[in-house]
Amino acid sequence: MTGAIHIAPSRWQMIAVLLRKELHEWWSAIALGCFTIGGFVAIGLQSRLIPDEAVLIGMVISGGLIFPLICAMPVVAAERAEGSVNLLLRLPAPAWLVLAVKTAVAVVGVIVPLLLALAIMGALAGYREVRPNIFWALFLLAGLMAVNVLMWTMCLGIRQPNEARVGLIGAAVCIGTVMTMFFIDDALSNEQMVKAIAAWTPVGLFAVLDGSRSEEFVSLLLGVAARHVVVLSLLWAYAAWRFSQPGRTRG
Amino acid sequence: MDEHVIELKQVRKAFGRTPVLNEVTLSVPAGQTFAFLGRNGAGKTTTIRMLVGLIQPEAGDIRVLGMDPRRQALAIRRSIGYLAEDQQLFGWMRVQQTLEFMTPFYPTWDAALARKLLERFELSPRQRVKHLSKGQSVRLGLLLALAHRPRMMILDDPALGLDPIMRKQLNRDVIALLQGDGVTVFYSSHLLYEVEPVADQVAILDHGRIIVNSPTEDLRDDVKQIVIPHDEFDAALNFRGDMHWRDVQRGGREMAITLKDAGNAVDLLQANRITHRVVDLNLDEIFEAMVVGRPDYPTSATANGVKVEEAAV
Repeated sequence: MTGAIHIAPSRWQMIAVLLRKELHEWWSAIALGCFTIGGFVAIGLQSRLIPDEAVLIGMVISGGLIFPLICAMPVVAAERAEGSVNLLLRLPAPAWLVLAVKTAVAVVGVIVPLLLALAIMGALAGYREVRPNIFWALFLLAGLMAVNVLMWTMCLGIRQPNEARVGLIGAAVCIGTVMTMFFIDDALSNEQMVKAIAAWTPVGLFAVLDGSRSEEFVSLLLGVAARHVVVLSLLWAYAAWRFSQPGRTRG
Repeated sequence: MDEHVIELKQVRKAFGRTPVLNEVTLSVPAGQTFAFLGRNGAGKTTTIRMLVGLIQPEAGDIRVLGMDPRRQALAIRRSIGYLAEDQQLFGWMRVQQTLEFMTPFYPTWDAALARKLLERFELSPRQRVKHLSKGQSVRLGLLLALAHRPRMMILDDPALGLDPIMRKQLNRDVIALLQGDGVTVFYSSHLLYEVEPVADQVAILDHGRIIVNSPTEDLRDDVKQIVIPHDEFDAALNFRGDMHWRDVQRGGREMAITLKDAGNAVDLLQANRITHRVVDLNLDEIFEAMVVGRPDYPTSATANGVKVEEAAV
Protein backbone atom coordinates (compact mmCIF):
# COMPACT_ATOMS: atom_id res chain seq x y z
CA MET A 1 0.00 0.00 0.00
CA THR A 2 2.99 2.29 -0.27
CA GLY A 3 4.02 4.62 -3.06
CA ALA A 4 0.76 6.57 -3.27
CA ILE A 5 1.10 9.89 -5.06
CA HIS A 6 -0.24 12.80 -3.02
CA ILE A 7 -1.97 15.67 -4.72
CA ALA A 8 -3.29 18.62 -2.74
CA PRO A 9 -7.00 17.91 -2.36
CA SER A 10 -9.48 20.50 -3.54
CA ARG A 11 -10.56 22.70 -0.67
CA TRP A 12 -13.83 23.32 -2.49
CA GLN A 13 -14.66 19.63 -2.47
CA MET A 14 -13.96 19.53 1.25
CA ILE A 15 -16.18 22.56 1.81
CA ALA A 16 -18.90 20.94 -0.31
CA VAL A 17 -19.05 17.76 1.78
CA LEU A 18 -18.83 19.70 5.05
CA LEU A 19 -21.66 21.98 3.86
CA ARG A 20 -23.79 19.02 2.85
CA LYS A 21 -23.27 17.45 6.26
CA GLU A 22 -24.11 20.64 8.14
CA LEU A 23 -27.18 21.40 6.03
CA HIS A 24 -28.44 17.89 6.63
CA GLU A 25 -28.07 18.39 10.37
CA TRP A 26 -29.64 21.87 10.22
CA TRP A 27 -32.58 21.51 7.91
CA SER A 28 -35.03 20.50 10.61
CA ALA A 29 -33.99 23.45 12.83
CA ILE A 30 -34.38 25.85 9.91
CA ALA A 31 -37.77 24.38 9.06
CA LEU A 32 -38.90 24.67 12.66
CA GLY A 33 -37.71 28.30 12.82
CA CYS A 34 -39.54 29.13 9.62
CA PHE A 35 -42.68 27.44 10.89
CA THR A 36 -42.77 29.15 14.29
CA ILE A 37 -41.51 32.64 13.41
CA GLY A 38 -43.21 32.74 10.01
CA GLY A 39 -46.39 31.34 11.54
CA PHE A 40 -46.36 33.88 14.35
CA VAL A 41 -45.94 36.79 11.93
CA ALA A 42 -48.57 35.48 9.49
CA ILE A 43 -51.18 34.81 12.16
CA GLY A 44 -50.39 38.04 14.02
CA LEU A 45 -50.74 40.18 10.92
CA GLN A 46 -53.70 38.38 9.44
CA SER A 47 -55.76 38.22 12.62
CA ARG A 48 -55.10 41.89 13.48
CA LEU A 49 -55.50 41.12 17.16
CA ILE A 50 -52.39 43.16 17.96
CA PRO A 51 -50.81 46.14 16.16
CA ASP A 52 -48.34 45.38 13.35
CA GLU A 53 -45.52 46.98 15.34
CA ALA A 54 -46.17 44.57 18.22
CA VAL A 55 -45.96 41.68 15.76
CA LEU A 56 -42.65 43.05 14.54
CA ILE A 57 -41.29 43.38 18.08
CA GLY A 58 -42.44 39.82 18.81
CA MET A 59 -40.57 38.74 15.70
CA VAL A 60 -37.42 40.53 16.95
CA ILE A 61 -37.62 38.77 20.31
CA SER A 62 -38.40 35.32 18.95
CA GLY A 63 -36.25 35.43 15.79
CA GLY A 64 -33.48 37.68 17.06
CA LEU A 65 -33.07 36.35 20.58
CA ILE A 66 -34.76 33.07 21.48
CA PHE A 67 -34.37 31.12 18.23
CA PRO A 68 -30.64 31.96 17.75
CA LEU A 69 -29.95 31.10 21.38
CA ILE A 70 -31.50 27.67 20.85
CA CYS A 71 -29.71 27.25 17.52
CA ALA A 72 -26.29 28.12 18.97
CA MET A 73 -26.46 25.36 21.54
CA PRO A 74 -25.80 22.31 19.35
CA VAL A 75 -23.48 23.84 16.72
CA VAL A 76 -20.35 22.34 18.29
CA ALA A 77 -21.59 20.98 21.63
CA ALA A 78 -23.82 18.31 20.07
CA GLU A 79 -20.84 16.85 18.21
CA ARG A 80 -18.71 17.15 21.32
CA ALA A 81 -21.31 15.27 23.38
CA GLU A 82 -21.63 12.63 20.66
CA GLY A 83 -17.88 12.38 20.12
CA SER A 84 -17.99 12.97 16.37
CA VAL A 85 -16.10 16.26 16.78
CA ASN A 86 -12.94 14.16 17.19
CA LEU A 87 -13.44 12.76 13.71
CA LEU A 88 -13.77 16.29 12.30
CA LEU A 89 -10.66 17.48 14.09
CA ARG A 90 -8.63 14.51 12.85
CA LEU A 91 -9.51 15.07 9.22
CA PRO A 92 -6.76 16.41 6.99
CA ALA A 93 -8.55 19.75 6.89
CA PRO A 94 -7.86 22.85 8.96
CA ALA A 95 -10.01 23.06 12.07
CA TRP A 96 -10.85 26.68 11.25
CA LEU A 97 -12.34 25.56 7.93
CA VAL A 98 -14.60 23.05 9.69
CA LEU A 99 -15.72 25.74 12.14
CA ALA A 100 -16.18 28.29 9.36
CA VAL A 101 -18.58 25.96 7.54
CA LYS A 102 -20.44 25.28 10.77
CA THR A 103 -20.70 29.01 11.50
CA ALA A 104 -21.83 29.88 7.98
CA VAL A 105 -24.62 27.31 8.04
CA ALA A 106 -25.68 28.39 11.53
CA VAL A 107 -25.87 32.06 10.44
CA VAL A 108 -27.94 31.05 7.42
CA GLY A 109 -30.08 28.96 9.76
CA VAL A 110 -31.02 31.94 11.95
CA ILE A 111 -31.39 34.42 9.08
CA VAL A 112 -33.67 32.32 6.84
CA PRO A 113 -36.69 32.45 9.23
CA LEU A 114 -36.25 36.23 9.48
CA LEU A 115 -36.21 36.54 5.69
CA LEU A 116 -39.36 34.45 5.55
CA ALA A 117 -40.96 36.73 8.17
CA LEU A 118 -39.91 39.72 6.05
CA ALA A 119 -41.53 38.20 2.97
CA ILE A 120 -44.73 37.41 4.87
CA MET A 121 -44.81 40.92 6.34
CA GLY A 122 -44.34 42.41 2.87
CA ALA A 123 -47.02 40.23 1.36
CA LEU A 124 -49.63 40.58 4.10
CA ALA A 125 -49.17 44.04 5.59
CA GLY A 126 -46.37 46.06 4.05
CA TYR A 127 -46.16 49.49 5.63
CA ARG A 128 -49.87 49.65 6.48
CA GLU A 129 -49.31 50.55 10.16
CA VAL A 130 -45.54 50.84 10.41
CA ARG A 131 -43.41 53.52 8.80
CA PRO A 132 -40.77 52.15 6.37
CA ASN A 133 -37.76 53.24 8.45
CA ILE A 134 -39.14 51.53 11.56
CA PHE A 135 -40.07 48.47 9.51
CA TRP A 136 -36.54 48.10 8.14
CA ALA A 137 -34.89 49.06 11.43
CA LEU A 138 -36.75 46.30 13.28
CA PHE A 139 -35.74 43.71 10.70
CA LEU A 140 -32.15 44.96 10.79
CA LEU A 141 -32.27 44.86 14.57
CA ALA A 142 -33.58 41.28 14.53
CA GLY A 143 -30.87 40.20 12.09
CA LEU A 144 -28.09 41.89 14.05
CA MET A 145 -29.29 40.45 17.33
CA ALA A 146 -29.73 36.99 15.83
CA VAL A 147 -26.18 36.87 14.49
CA ASN A 148 -24.83 38.36 17.72
CA VAL A 149 -26.64 35.99 20.05
CA LEU A 150 -25.67 33.02 17.88
CA MET A 151 -22.01 33.99 17.65
CA TRP A 152 -21.54 35.04 21.28
CA THR A 153 -23.19 31.87 22.54
CA MET A 154 -21.43 29.55 20.12
CA CYS A 155 -17.99 31.14 20.51
CA LEU A 156 -18.01 31.43 24.30
CA GLY A 157 -19.42 27.93 24.63
CA ILE A 158 -17.02 26.38 22.12
CA ARG A 159 -15.35 24.11 24.69
CA GLN A 160 -18.48 23.11 26.57
CA PRO A 161 -19.16 19.38 26.61
CA ASN A 162 -22.93 19.57 26.10
CA GLU A 163 -25.70 21.74 24.76
CA ALA A 164 -27.21 22.61 28.13
CA ARG A 165 -24.03 24.31 29.28
CA VAL A 166 -23.77 26.27 26.05
CA GLY A 167 -27.38 27.38 26.56
CA LEU A 168 -26.54 28.57 30.07
CA ILE A 169 -23.63 30.58 28.71
CA GLY A 170 -25.89 32.14 26.07
CA ALA A 171 -28.53 33.00 28.65
CA ALA A 172 -25.86 34.46 30.92
CA VAL A 173 -24.58 36.64 28.07
CA CYS A 174 -28.08 37.92 27.24
CA ILE A 175 -29.23 38.48 30.83
CA GLY A 176 -25.84 39.84 31.84
CA THR A 177 -25.90 42.36 29.01
CA VAL A 178 -29.36 43.61 29.88
CA MET A 179 -28.56 43.83 33.59
CA THR A 180 -25.34 45.67 32.86
CA MET A 181 -27.21 48.15 30.66
CA PHE A 182 -29.72 48.82 33.44
CA PHE A 183 -26.93 49.22 35.96
CA ILE A 184 -24.97 51.64 33.78
CA ASP A 185 -28.11 53.57 32.99
CA ASP A 186 -28.95 53.85 36.67
CA ALA A 187 -25.41 54.60 37.85
CA LEU A 188 -24.31 57.02 35.16
CA SER A 189 -27.55 58.62 34.04
CA ASN A 190 -25.65 59.41 30.85
CA GLU A 191 -27.74 58.52 27.86
CA GLN A 192 -24.95 58.96 25.34
CA MET A 193 -22.61 56.67 27.25
CA VAL A 194 -25.31 54.04 27.66
CA LYS A 195 -25.90 54.11 23.91
CA ALA A 196 -22.19 53.93 23.16
CA ILE A 197 -21.80 50.85 25.36
CA ALA A 198 -25.04 49.27 24.09
CA ALA A 199 -23.74 49.50 20.55
CA TRP A 200 -21.01 46.97 21.39
CA THR A 201 -23.23 44.46 23.16
CA PRO A 202 -25.13 41.53 21.64
CA VAL A 203 -28.61 42.34 22.95
CA GLY A 204 -28.44 45.93 24.14
CA LEU A 205 -29.28 47.23 20.70
CA PHE A 206 -32.73 48.51 21.69
CA ALA A 207 -30.95 51.14 23.76
CA VAL A 208 -29.20 52.43 20.64
CA LEU A 209 -32.55 53.36 19.14
CA ASP A 210 -34.03 54.70 22.35
CA GLY A 211 -34.55 58.45 22.14
CA SER A 212 -33.31 58.72 18.55
CA ARG A 213 -35.37 60.00 15.68
CA SER A 214 -36.87 57.13 13.73
CA GLU A 215 -35.38 58.52 10.51
CA GLU A 216 -31.94 57.74 11.94
CA PHE A 217 -32.73 54.17 12.98
CA VAL A 218 -31.41 52.35 9.93
CA SER A 219 -28.19 54.38 9.67
CA LEU A 220 -27.61 54.00 13.42
CA LEU A 221 -27.95 50.24 13.18
CA LEU A 222 -25.70 50.03 10.12
CA GLY A 223 -23.04 51.90 12.10
CA VAL A 224 -23.47 49.45 14.94
CA ALA A 225 -23.23 46.52 12.51
CA ALA A 226 -19.77 47.69 11.42
CA ARG A 227 -18.60 47.60 15.06
CA HIS A 228 -20.08 44.15 15.49
CA VAL A 229 -18.09 42.84 12.55
CA VAL A 230 -14.94 43.64 14.54
CA VAL A 231 -16.22 42.15 17.82
CA LEU A 232 -17.58 39.00 16.19
CA SER A 233 -14.39 38.49 14.17
CA LEU A 234 -12.34 38.54 17.36
CA LEU A 235 -14.78 36.21 19.08
CA TRP A 236 -14.71 33.82 16.16
CA ALA A 237 -10.90 33.85 16.04
CA TYR A 238 -10.90 32.88 19.71
CA ALA A 239 -13.42 30.11 19.01
CA ALA A 240 -11.38 28.77 16.07
CA TRP A 241 -8.27 28.64 18.26
CA ARG A 242 -10.10 26.84 21.07
CA PHE A 243 -11.96 24.54 18.68
CA SER A 244 -8.71 23.16 17.27
CA GLN A 245 -7.46 22.13 20.70
CA PRO A 246 -8.49 18.62 21.71
CA GLY A 247 -9.44 17.97 25.29
CA ARG A 248 -7.09 16.40 27.77
CA THR A 249 -6.45 12.75 27.20
CA ARG A 250 -6.80 10.01 29.72
CA GLY A 251 -3.43 8.61 28.83
CA MET B 1 15.95 -1.31 8.17
CA ASP B 2 17.41 2.20 8.37
CA GLU B 3 14.40 4.30 7.55
CA HIS B 4 12.32 5.42 10.50
CA VAL B 5 8.78 6.56 9.93
CA ILE B 6 8.35 7.96 13.44
CA GLU B 7 11.04 9.68 15.42
CA LEU B 8 10.60 11.35 18.77
CA LYS B 9 13.56 13.03 20.42
CA GLN B 10 13.37 14.10 24.06
CA VAL B 11 9.74 15.05 23.80
CA ARG B 12 8.13 16.67 26.81
CA LYS B 13 4.52 17.49 27.46
CA ALA B 14 2.56 18.56 30.52
CA PHE B 15 -1.08 19.50 31.04
CA GLY B 16 -0.88 22.38 33.46
CA ARG B 17 1.40 21.21 36.23
CA THR B 18 0.85 17.54 35.48
CA PRO B 19 3.71 16.09 33.45
CA VAL B 20 2.49 13.59 30.87
CA LEU B 21 5.56 12.85 28.78
CA ASN B 22 9.08 13.20 30.06
CA GLU B 23 12.02 13.19 27.63
CA VAL B 24 10.45 10.52 25.42
CA THR B 25 12.78 9.29 22.71
CA LEU B 26 11.51 6.70 20.29
CA SER B 27 11.95 5.60 16.71
CA VAL B 28 9.77 3.28 14.67
CA PRO B 29 11.36 1.48 11.71
CA ALA B 30 9.46 1.45 8.42
CA GLY B 31 7.39 -1.59 7.57
CA GLN B 32 7.16 -2.95 11.11
CA THR B 33 4.32 -3.47 13.52
CA PHE B 34 5.24 -1.46 16.56
CA ALA B 35 3.42 -2.12 19.82
CA PHE B 36 3.20 0.95 22.00
CA LEU B 37 2.19 -0.25 25.42
CA GLY B 38 1.35 1.40 28.66
CA ARG B 39 -1.20 1.45 31.42
CA ASN B 40 -4.19 3.75 31.27
CA GLY B 41 -2.90 7.28 31.76
CA ALA B 42 0.68 6.42 30.79
CA GLY B 43 0.70 9.00 27.98
CA LYS B 44 0.00 6.83 24.91
CA THR B 45 -2.89 8.84 23.51
CA THR B 46 -1.05 12.11 24.20
CA THR B 47 1.90 10.79 22.21
CA ILE B 48 -0.35 9.79 19.32
CA ARG B 49 -2.12 13.15 19.32
CA MET B 50 1.25 14.81 19.01
CA LEU B 51 2.19 12.53 16.13
CA VAL B 52 -0.84 13.69 14.13
CA GLY B 53 -0.42 17.34 15.12
CA LEU B 54 -3.49 17.63 17.32
CA ILE B 55 -1.42 18.86 20.26
CA GLN B 56 2.05 20.32 20.41
CA PRO B 57 4.98 19.17 22.53
CA GLU B 58 6.53 21.61 24.95
CA ALA B 59 10.03 20.51 24.04
CA GLY B 60 11.72 18.02 21.77
CA ASP B 61 11.50 17.10 18.15
CA ILE B 62 8.96 14.91 16.33
CA ARG B 63 9.13 13.58 12.79
CA VAL B 64 6.42 11.49 11.17
CA LEU B 65 7.20 10.21 7.68
CA GLY B 66 9.95 12.83 7.67
CA MET B 67 7.47 15.64 8.36
CA ASP B 68 7.08 17.92 11.35
CA PRO B 69 3.56 17.60 12.85
CA ARG B 70 3.74 21.20 14.07
CA ARG B 71 3.97 22.53 10.53
CA GLN B 72 2.75 19.70 8.32
CA ALA B 73 -0.05 18.15 10.35
CA LEU B 74 -2.49 18.03 7.43
CA ALA B 75 0.04 16.39 5.10
CA ILE B 76 0.75 13.80 7.79
CA ARG B 77 -2.96 13.11 8.30
CA ARG B 78 -3.38 12.64 4.55
CA SER B 79 -0.57 10.07 4.51
CA ILE B 80 -1.52 7.99 7.51
CA GLY B 81 -4.51 6.00 8.66
CA TYR B 82 -5.67 6.71 12.19
CA LEU B 83 -8.15 4.64 14.12
CA ALA B 84 -8.75 5.87 17.65
CA GLU B 85 -10.51 4.31 20.60
CA ASP B 86 -12.98 7.20 20.83
CA GLN B 87 -13.78 7.38 17.12
CA GLN B 88 -17.43 8.27 16.65
CA LEU B 89 -18.84 8.51 13.16
CA PHE B 90 -21.91 10.53 12.20
CA GLY B 91 -24.84 8.42 13.31
CA TRP B 92 -27.35 9.75 10.81
CA MET B 93 -25.18 8.95 7.81
CA ARG B 94 -25.42 5.70 5.92
CA VAL B 95 -22.21 3.74 5.44
CA GLN B 96 -22.04 4.85 1.79
CA GLN B 97 -22.56 8.51 2.78
CA THR B 98 -19.73 8.20 5.28
CA LEU B 99 -17.42 6.98 2.52
CA GLU B 100 -18.52 9.84 0.26
CA PHE B 101 -17.93 12.31 3.09
CA MET B 102 -14.36 11.13 3.63
CA THR B 103 -13.33 10.90 -0.04
CA PRO B 104 -12.44 14.58 -0.76
CA PHE B 105 -10.10 14.78 2.22
CA TYR B 106 -7.80 12.11 0.86
CA PRO B 107 -6.36 12.57 -2.64
CA THR B 108 -5.25 8.93 -2.68
CA TRP B 109 -8.70 7.57 -1.76
CA ASP B 110 -9.24 4.27 -3.56
CA ALA B 111 -12.96 3.73 -4.15
CA ALA B 112 -12.37 0.19 -5.47
CA LEU B 113 -10.47 -0.74 -2.32
CA ALA B 114 -13.24 0.79 -0.20
CA ARG B 115 -15.82 -1.39 -1.99
CA LYS B 116 -13.63 -4.44 -1.53
CA LEU B 117 -13.25 -3.75 2.18
CA LEU B 118 -16.99 -3.19 2.53
CA GLU B 119 -17.54 -6.72 1.26
CA ARG B 120 -14.74 -8.15 3.33
CA PHE B 121 -16.05 -6.54 6.51
CA GLU B 122 -19.63 -7.50 5.63
CA LEU B 123 -20.90 -3.94 5.88
CA SER B 124 -23.97 -2.85 3.97
CA PRO B 125 -23.56 0.53 2.23
CA ARG B 126 -27.20 1.34 2.97
CA GLN B 127 -27.00 0.71 6.69
CA ARG B 128 -27.14 3.72 8.99
CA VAL B 129 -24.04 4.21 11.12
CA LYS B 130 -26.13 4.52 14.29
CA HIS B 131 -27.51 1.04 13.66
CA LEU B 132 -24.08 -0.60 13.41
CA SER B 133 -22.88 -2.79 16.25
CA LYS B 134 -19.70 -1.80 18.11
CA GLY B 135 -17.72 -4.34 16.10
CA GLN B 136 -19.15 -3.09 12.79
CA SER B 137 -18.37 0.52 13.77
CA VAL B 138 -14.76 -0.36 14.48
CA ARG B 139 -14.56 -2.17 11.15
CA LEU B 140 -16.00 0.84 9.35
CA GLY B 141 -13.42 2.99 11.14
CA LEU B 142 -10.72 0.59 9.98
CA LEU B 143 -12.06 0.75 6.42
CA LEU B 144 -11.96 4.57 6.50
CA ALA B 145 -8.41 4.48 7.79
CA LEU B 146 -7.32 2.03 5.09
CA ALA B 147 -9.14 3.15 1.97
CA HIS B 148 -6.71 5.94 1.11
CA ARG B 149 -3.82 3.48 1.14
CA PRO B 150 -1.87 5.01 4.00
CA ARG B 151 1.87 4.61 4.37
CA MET B 152 1.45 4.17 8.08
CA MET B 153 -1.40 3.12 10.31
CA ILE B 154 -1.90 4.37 13.85
CA LEU B 155 -4.21 2.24 15.96
CA ASP B 156 -5.00 3.74 19.34
CA ASP B 157 -6.64 1.01 21.40
CA PRO B 158 -9.11 0.37 18.57
CA ALA B 159 -10.44 -2.85 20.08
CA LEU B 160 -11.47 -1.22 23.33
CA GLY B 161 -14.99 -2.31 24.18
CA LEU B 162 -15.03 -5.26 21.77
CA ASP B 163 -15.54 -8.79 22.95
CA PRO B 164 -12.51 -11.13 22.80
CA ILE B 165 -13.60 -12.77 19.55
CA MET B 166 -14.14 -9.43 17.82
CA ARG B 167 -10.75 -8.26 19.09
CA LYS B 168 -9.06 -11.31 17.59
CA GLN B 169 -10.92 -10.78 14.31
CA LEU B 170 -9.86 -7.14 14.21
CA ASN B 171 -6.24 -8.09 14.75
CA ARG B 172 -6.52 -10.72 12.05
CA ASP B 173 -7.88 -8.08 9.68
CA VAL B 174 -5.11 -5.67 10.55
CA ILE B 175 -2.46 -8.32 10.00
CA ALA B 176 -3.98 -9.58 6.77
CA LEU B 177 -4.44 -6.12 5.31
CA LEU B 178 -1.30 -4.36 6.44
CA GLN B 179 1.50 -6.68 7.40
CA GLY B 180 3.68 -7.81 4.56
CA ASP B 181 2.44 -4.90 2.49
CA GLY B 182 5.10 -2.49 3.66
CA VAL B 183 2.74 -0.48 5.83
CA THR B 184 4.05 0.48 9.24
CA VAL B 185 1.60 -0.18 12.03
CA PHE B 186 1.85 1.79 15.26
CA TYR B 187 -0.39 -0.15 17.61
CA SER B 188 -1.11 1.39 20.97
CA SER B 189 -2.83 -0.73 23.56
CA HIS B 190 -2.92 -1.77 27.17
CA LEU B 191 -4.25 -5.23 26.24
CA LEU B 192 -0.98 -6.97 25.68
CA TYR B 193 -2.18 -10.37 24.61
CA GLU B 194 -3.89 -8.52 21.79
CA VAL B 195 -0.68 -7.12 20.30
CA GLU B 196 1.75 -9.86 21.24
CA PRO B 197 1.11 -12.06 18.19
CA VAL B 198 1.46 -9.18 15.74
CA ALA B 199 4.21 -6.96 17.15
CA ASP B 200 7.72 -6.86 15.68
CA GLN B 201 8.87 -4.31 18.21
CA VAL B 202 7.63 -3.24 21.62
CA ALA B 203 7.94 0.00 23.55
CA ILE B 204 6.56 0.35 27.06
CA LEU B 205 5.61 3.77 28.32
CA ASP B 206 5.28 4.25 32.04
CA HIS B 207 4.57 7.54 33.79
CA GLY B 208 5.60 9.43 30.68
CA ARG B 209 8.91 7.62 30.19
CA ILE B 210 9.93 4.88 27.78
CA ILE B 211 11.15 2.05 29.98
CA VAL B 212 11.47 -0.61 27.27
CA ASN B 213 12.08 -0.30 23.53
CA SER B 214 13.15 -3.51 21.90
CA PRO B 215 12.24 -6.11 19.26
CA THR B 216 9.61 -8.44 20.70
CA GLU B 217 11.77 -11.57 20.41
CA ASP B 218 14.76 -9.86 22.02
CA LEU B 219 12.54 -8.73 24.87
CA ARG B 220 11.26 -12.26 25.43
CA ASP B 221 14.85 -13.56 25.40
CA ASP B 222 16.07 -10.83 27.67
CA VAL B 223 13.37 -10.85 30.34
CA LYS B 224 12.75 -14.17 32.08
CA GLN B 225 11.60 -15.46 35.38
CA ILE B 226 14.05 -17.45 37.46
CA VAL B 227 12.59 -19.66 40.15
CA ILE B 228 14.81 -20.47 43.09
CA PRO B 229 14.02 -22.75 46.02
CA HIS B 230 13.24 -20.87 49.19
CA ASP B 231 16.26 -22.08 51.10
CA GLU B 232 18.70 -20.95 48.36
CA PHE B 233 17.25 -17.48 47.97
CA ASP B 234 19.64 -15.93 50.50
CA ALA B 235 22.56 -17.17 48.43
CA ALA B 236 21.01 -15.56 45.35
CA LEU B 237 20.58 -12.31 47.23
CA ASN B 238 24.37 -11.98 47.37
CA PHE B 239 24.40 -11.48 43.60
CA ARG B 240 21.48 -9.08 43.46
CA GLY B 241 23.82 -6.21 42.56
CA ASP B 242 25.02 -8.10 39.48
CA MET B 243 21.54 -8.92 38.19
CA HIS B 244 18.80 -6.61 36.90
CA TRP B 245 15.89 -7.66 39.08
CA ARG B 246 12.51 -6.27 38.10
CA ASP B 247 10.20 -8.18 40.39
CA VAL B 248 10.38 -10.70 43.21
CA GLN B 249 7.48 -12.80 44.39
CA ARG B 250 7.09 -15.68 46.76
CA GLY B 251 5.09 -18.69 45.77
CA GLY B 252 4.88 -21.63 48.12
CA ARG B 253 8.38 -22.94 48.78
CA GLU B 254 9.94 -21.03 45.91
CA MET B 255 10.95 -17.47 45.09
CA ALA B 256 10.31 -16.16 41.59
CA ILE B 257 12.59 -13.42 40.31
CA THR B 258 11.74 -11.64 37.09
CA LEU B 259 14.86 -10.04 35.65
CA LYS B 260 16.40 -8.42 32.63
CA ASP B 261 19.57 -9.71 31.04
CA ALA B 262 18.46 -13.23 31.90
CA GLY B 263 21.37 -14.94 30.08
CA ASN B 264 23.99 -13.39 32.35
CA ALA B 265 21.91 -14.06 35.44
CA VAL B 266 21.63 -17.76 34.56
CA ASP B 267 25.39 -17.94 34.00
CA LEU B 268 25.96 -16.35 37.40
CA LEU B 269 23.61 -18.74 39.18
CA GLN B 270 25.14 -21.77 37.46
CA ALA B 271 28.67 -20.65 38.32
CA ASN B 272 27.65 -20.41 41.98
CA ARG B 273 25.75 -23.70 41.93
CA ILE B 274 22.45 -22.14 42.96
CA THR B 275 19.52 -24.36 42.02
CA HIS B 276 17.13 -22.62 39.67
CA ARG B 277 14.83 -23.07 36.73
CA VAL B 278 14.06 -20.58 33.97
CA VAL B 279 10.50 -19.71 32.99
CA ASP B 280 9.64 -17.98 29.71
CA LEU B 281 7.29 -15.05 30.08
CA ASN B 282 4.64 -13.68 27.80
CA LEU B 283 4.37 -9.97 27.04
CA ASP B 284 1.70 -9.53 29.69
CA GLU B 285 3.98 -10.84 32.42
CA ILE B 286 6.97 -8.87 31.16
CA PHE B 287 4.87 -5.72 31.09
CA GLU B 288 3.62 -6.32 34.61
CA ALA B 289 7.13 -6.89 35.95
CA MET B 290 8.45 -3.78 34.20
CA VAL B 291 5.64 -1.49 35.23
CA VAL B 292 4.46 -2.65 38.63
CA GLY B 293 7.26 -5.00 39.66
CA ARG B 294 8.85 -4.62 43.12
CA PRO B 295 12.51 -5.56 42.68
CA ASP B 296 13.56 -4.55 46.22
CA TYR B 297 11.18 -6.89 47.92
CA PRO B 298 11.83 -8.94 49.97
CA THR B 299 15.31 -8.32 51.35
CA SER B 300 15.44 -11.89 52.60
CA ALA B 301 13.32 -14.98 52.05
CA THR B 302 13.53 -15.80 55.73
CA ALA B 303 12.81 -12.31 57.04
CA ASN B 304 10.28 -12.38 59.85
CA GLY B 305 7.44 -9.95 60.19
CA VAL B 306 7.46 -9.04 56.51
CA LYS B 307 4.21 -9.30 54.64
CA VAL B 308 4.91 -11.74 51.86
CA GLU B 309 2.90 -11.63 48.67
CA GLU B 310 1.69 -15.03 47.60
CA ALA B 311 1.73 -15.58 43.91
CA ALA B 312 1.28 -18.53 41.63
CA VAL B 313 4.63 -19.37 40.11
